[in-house]
Amino acid sequence: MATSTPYLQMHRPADDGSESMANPEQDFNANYDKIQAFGDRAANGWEFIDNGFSESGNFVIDITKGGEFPAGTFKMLQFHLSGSMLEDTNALGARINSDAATDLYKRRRIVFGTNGGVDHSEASSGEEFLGPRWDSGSENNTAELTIFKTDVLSNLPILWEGGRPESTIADRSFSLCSGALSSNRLIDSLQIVTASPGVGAGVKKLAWTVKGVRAIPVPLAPLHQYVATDTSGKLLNKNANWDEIDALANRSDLGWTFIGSGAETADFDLDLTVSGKYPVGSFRLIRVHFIGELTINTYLVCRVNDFSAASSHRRGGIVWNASDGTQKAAFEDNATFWRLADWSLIPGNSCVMTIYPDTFNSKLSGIDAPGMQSYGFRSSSSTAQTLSKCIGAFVNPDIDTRPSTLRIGSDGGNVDNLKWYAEGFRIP
Amino acid sequence: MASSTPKLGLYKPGPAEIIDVTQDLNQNLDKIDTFASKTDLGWTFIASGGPENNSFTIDITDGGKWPAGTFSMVRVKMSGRVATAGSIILLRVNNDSTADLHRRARIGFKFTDGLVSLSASGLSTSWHAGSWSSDDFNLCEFTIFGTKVSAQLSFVGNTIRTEASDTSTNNIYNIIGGDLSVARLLDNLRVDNGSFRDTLWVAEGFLEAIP
Repeated sequence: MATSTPYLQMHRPADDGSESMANPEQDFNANYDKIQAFGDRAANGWEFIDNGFSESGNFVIDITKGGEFPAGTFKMLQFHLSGSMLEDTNALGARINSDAATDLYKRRRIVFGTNGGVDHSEASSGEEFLGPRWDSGSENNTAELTIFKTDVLSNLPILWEGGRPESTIADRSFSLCSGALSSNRLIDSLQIVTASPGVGAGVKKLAWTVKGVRAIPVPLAPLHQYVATDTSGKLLNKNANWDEIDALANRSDLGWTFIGSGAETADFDLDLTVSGKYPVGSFRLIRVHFIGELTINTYLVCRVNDFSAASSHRRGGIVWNASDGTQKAAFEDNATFWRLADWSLIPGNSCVMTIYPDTFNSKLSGIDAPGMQSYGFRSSSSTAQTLSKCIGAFVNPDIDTRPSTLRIGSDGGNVDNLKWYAEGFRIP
Repeated sequence: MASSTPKLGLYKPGPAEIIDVTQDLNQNLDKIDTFASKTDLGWTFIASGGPENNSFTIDITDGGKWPAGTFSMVRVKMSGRVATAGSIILLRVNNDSTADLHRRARIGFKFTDGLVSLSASGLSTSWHAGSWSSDDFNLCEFTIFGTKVSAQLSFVGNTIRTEASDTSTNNIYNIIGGDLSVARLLDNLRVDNGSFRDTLWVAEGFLEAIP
């Protein structure tokens, strides 16, 4: 008896030969149509380029991946970085094509201490972009860097954010950075340096990923349709399709992967393994989007692996009142859960959380804690809207800290009418 | 002689090989299906545009290809400049200018000293996405939540205003957010600033299920 594949619902002739295949044109071509529609969806958007582990010093990321992606292939690039520095006093920096031309880089940076103060601010020109401030003691510093207009000769504007959830509470911070070039360049590589400004000794241990949005999409070529009367062509046509589909898989198989989504009316456990489908350690990054409300006005919170040992969750953050820019709260401590964002008890609150669990991947021996960054919006029916930026790390030397579940709740209340969407970033 | 393609390992019958349709092809279909189930959902490209030189509208349906409600979230990234430096970028769901429909929040921090340069909250006819300079260095990115159904959509993001002058106090990092006071089903987003110049954008949607 015929069946269908579970996802695309393609017609699958019976394995026992009981099906006569009376209408192969219809059966096969209906499958090809479904594959084609999938290929059209997969042809655009973010594409995995490359990743690296255990980088040290000042090193270069080859955007072309040895010529596989010529400069200009992607119109936008995004990097995720996690790790540590050799020197506490430095921050991350970056140079386009290792170019150290004088004042090529217009760089902007604010470093907020999680006590609410401004640790550092700078708007200047120099020989490298200025990135987030990191530390040398923990491996759970985090950063996300997006570079725009990378398909042409351009001034390459950047947006760069990062967190420093280090063990010394008073030194925790997060950085908001930006910049652009003073003259145009076509990017083919990114040199990661440490800069304070002025290039330092580099990173101690760093893991990275890079993905891009293609300037010119590579769609799945029109699949050959089965022609019952074309006896000599049947095999050729089928094989041509397999090659096309395989090429699509080469382009699309890695990067962000949908884990799951859900709707909740109370605190809940988000199973990142999807009942074993994705074993612990499958993802280099985990991102969860939330929209919803709480039963009281408080924080949306997260506990990794429902592990509630005291001080297992390092955290820090600032909440600003949008009405006047004053700080509603600033916090930095160790606790049994992370705070993700200030939320209210009416609909319309939102939050994005990114976890960098790669920092304790077995390939990075000696690194034992994931970092986290989040930001969110608090809804109000009048003028009490707030905006939050938070950081965190999950630390315990005695257990496996790789996330398998996330306990999502509220700080003293409960979540309500909450929807969540989880993704994981897969690498080779 | 049979071979297989390298990534998925699909079975490729040799020219002289008699294929077992129900076994060999079904193996291929299973592999393709597994691949599709891993990669098809999540963030999906909707459209990109520009250079825009005036206010513009992002059609979330891309001309009907993605009916309103297809995506659970919508994400937009923009770069460019404005002719009138400091003019506000307004975001309007379905270009609906109903009074007090859009509840908004915005805080700008000066890169020169890290202090708050401006803030805004309350209800209006649009969301505030911060301001840009007339130099081609500016960025904006935001995510809109709750777009799968008619809902009180929420959004959060960042806008960077960069001036050519390093010492200008108008080099600003904006944190932006907002929601709606009444439910709406998103099918287009009006990005309003009468003086956009050289503005590029990319829109993506989050798929929870096969469309």
